Amino acid sequence: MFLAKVIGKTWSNHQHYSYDGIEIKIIRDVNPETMELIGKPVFALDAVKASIGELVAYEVSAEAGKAFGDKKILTDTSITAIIDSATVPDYLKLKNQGDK
Amino acid sequence: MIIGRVIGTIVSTVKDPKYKGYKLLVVQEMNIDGGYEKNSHISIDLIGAGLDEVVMVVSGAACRSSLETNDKGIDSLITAKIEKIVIGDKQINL
Repeated sequence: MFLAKVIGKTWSNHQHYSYDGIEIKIIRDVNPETMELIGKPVFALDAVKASIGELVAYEVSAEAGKAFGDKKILTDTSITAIIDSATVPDYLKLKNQGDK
Repeated sequence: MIIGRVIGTIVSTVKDPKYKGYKLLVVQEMNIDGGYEKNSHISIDLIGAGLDEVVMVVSGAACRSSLETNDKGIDSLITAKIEKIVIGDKQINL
């Protein structure tokens, strides 16, 4: 699972029947120390009804389809949790600064 | 998942028998501003997408988790047509 921020959403009228009632959001990875957006935006199905601007956790690959219970959903990226707070240990920060 | 534009079709006579009945399309990857990336894919079409349409592409083992594609050697699927993207105040009609 990865940390990301919801930055947008999409509209689609014609889609696979397994997507009925599910929203498609656009997310972008977040650096947990600086909270900066990094990497490319990706499209994700939303299992937890996250809104735009919220910090979320997402799952990739075949396991992403399991976020919607027993239904067979065609997805390789799913939002599976809304993050309230995250703590990064000090020793990790120091280590990463040392690497730079 | 990523989005892309359908730029062509594929015709194949000798192929895995499990591909029978499905349409193969060439999809050029796009970024969310509407510009193009370098990569392109051959994807199997489940929804009846046509040329020049913007579609969403699922890739990897996740493609096999539907009734149509169960137990088939498929790793790229077209699953939705994208009409509009909203990011902040910006609206992009595709």
